[in-house]
Amino acid sequence: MRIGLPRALTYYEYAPLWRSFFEALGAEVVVSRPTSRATLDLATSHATADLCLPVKLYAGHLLALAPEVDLLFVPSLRRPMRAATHCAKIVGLPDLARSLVREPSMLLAVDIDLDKGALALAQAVWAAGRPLTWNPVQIARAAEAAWNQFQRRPKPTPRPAEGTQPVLTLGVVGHSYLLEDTYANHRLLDRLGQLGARVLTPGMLPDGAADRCVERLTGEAYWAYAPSLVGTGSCFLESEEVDGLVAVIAFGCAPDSGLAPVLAQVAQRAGVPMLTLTLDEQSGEAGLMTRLEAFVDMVVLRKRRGVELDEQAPLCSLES
Amino acid sequence: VTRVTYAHFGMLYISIEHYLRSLGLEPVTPPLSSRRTLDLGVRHCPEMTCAPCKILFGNYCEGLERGADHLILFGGPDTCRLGYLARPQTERLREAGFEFTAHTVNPRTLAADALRVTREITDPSPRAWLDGARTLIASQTIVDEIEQLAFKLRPREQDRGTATRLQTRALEEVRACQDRVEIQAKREQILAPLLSAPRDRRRRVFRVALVGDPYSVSESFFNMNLEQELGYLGAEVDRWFWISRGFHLPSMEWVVHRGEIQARSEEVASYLGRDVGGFALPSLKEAMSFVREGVDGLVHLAPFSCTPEIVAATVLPRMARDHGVPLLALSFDEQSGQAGLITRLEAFVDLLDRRAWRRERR
Repeated sequence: MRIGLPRALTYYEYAPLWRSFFEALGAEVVVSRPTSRATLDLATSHATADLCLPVKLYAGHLLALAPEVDLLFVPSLRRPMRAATHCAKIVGLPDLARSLVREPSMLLAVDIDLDKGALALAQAVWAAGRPLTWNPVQIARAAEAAWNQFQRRPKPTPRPAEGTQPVLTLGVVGHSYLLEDTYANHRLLDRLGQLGARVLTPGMLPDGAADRCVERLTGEAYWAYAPSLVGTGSCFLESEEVDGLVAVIAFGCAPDSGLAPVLAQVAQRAGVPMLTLTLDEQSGEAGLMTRLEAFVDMVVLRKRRGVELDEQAPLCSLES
Repeated sequence: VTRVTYAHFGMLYISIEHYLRSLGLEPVTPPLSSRRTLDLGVRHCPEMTCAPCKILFGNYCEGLERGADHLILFGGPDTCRLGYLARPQTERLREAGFEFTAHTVNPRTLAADALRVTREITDPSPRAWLDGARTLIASQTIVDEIEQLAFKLRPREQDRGTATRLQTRALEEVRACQDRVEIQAKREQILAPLLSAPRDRRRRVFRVALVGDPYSVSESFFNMNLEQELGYLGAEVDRWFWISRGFHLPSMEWVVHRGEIQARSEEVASYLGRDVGGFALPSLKEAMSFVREGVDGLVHLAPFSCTPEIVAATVLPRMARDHGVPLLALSFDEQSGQAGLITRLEAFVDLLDRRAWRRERR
């Protein structure tokens, strides 16, 4: 049986887990091809206009994958931690998928809510493995093996700058599905490398470090995205390793709309410049390049002169 | 005297005023939402928060400006950004120099939170509790009734504007009442003009139901008087969210309409199978009730980029198509140009008119 994983949203975080789980149960896992213009075109012609870019891309991947597989794995993730919640679109992903796909019977929808306890999680795992085997023991074994393997997955290393010595170090923070989808972010990480930056991303922090930073900053996280944005950002600032921060957010994203300003405040207090990039489905890249170049130039200049940013000054004033 | 302020939510301020007064507190009602309210929110809230959050923040500011010691904010855990914003908004207000005690109310657990907040502000005797609750119920019930009667009258009125005029006057009369006894005594007298206003029986009237986010549905400043405009175009409006409906004992409703409620829930589950937060699921359930009752058209209202309602907006077209009900989806932001909205409403009502005409000819 062929199970399809759309290459979007939570795929970027949990793909190794799902892949090894389904493969252990004897399924063939098919992943949609990396995002392209065609994915986005497919999405914009089918999905609701007001949806944010990442969810639209999910729709595109889902529709592109549907003819190639027997089942589409569409999980609904509510609370990956104790209290913090995912956004309504990720919770309602199976419902969004049902209004897009012609045959709703090919959706393998699973509700995962860690706040509901072990029994609910076991039921979710059972529901996920159920189309492949009747044997609960086999499902439990596959899940455990997949989880252990997932815990040992290698951490990404800092992306070195191209050419000679890096001129500066930048922390790039945001949801994994924005940072790792090179079509959505217009090859942001490569471009920063070309501009001479060594790039740190959220995945490089030790497990739990970002969570602790969030807790220290704002108390228990409200959004499940707080660690990847505010947590990682403030960890980078605390380590004093970065010369600047780039926050990548999606236009219209509810969690980001509240979290990015919090991080901007922290960065301002630390005296580190921060650039907020808001991504939508527009494909023009010139404006983005100009902003990146200007930001990198500014950070380099500051570093050379050893200029301290005045705490009261705006983040990107012309004087600095 | 303890002075308490709160945000506007439709006509809720009238019953809150009665409630707080009956408990011996002084209500500080902020001025009705205006351009200035929104401007305050736009200036002090993060750029990409939704417009309702900005208007609410403006309300808080304007209420505190009138000198209140306690502020009741909307917030609390959910998948909606409003819950996250309560804390930063409180901090921002304190930075601006206001001194107050903050109390958070989650719109999804309104009744329980209202009790908790009341206890946080004052400690009423059981007798005062009971009296306060009965005042709140009496006041909100008549306020909702007035709005419902105005919705019915507006498409049938002989002189344009009668319904709005009578509604405003009736609401003022309710607001002027001192206590529950007076509201109940004057009830007939307050409702009479709306019931007896002359009606044009020849006009063709359509039933249009408003579904979606409760704030957009209830707050006429935010939805640019959509209910009124629809009424003028000949639509009898009904909305899914009425605060007084929350006072009905849920168990009673369950006993009386059990079969219907279950069937409706099951049918809704084939479109939206899980609670995604906000009011997406309850609103869709009510939309399904309207569809089953045979409403002529549905209008879905949501703030631009509202997370729970975007899920509803994605599944609602399928539901409307399956049941053959025309649907108009509108999303609102800070922009206040009304012309575009009215064009869309006119086109929608023309479509309903055409459908009715075709059905008659057949």
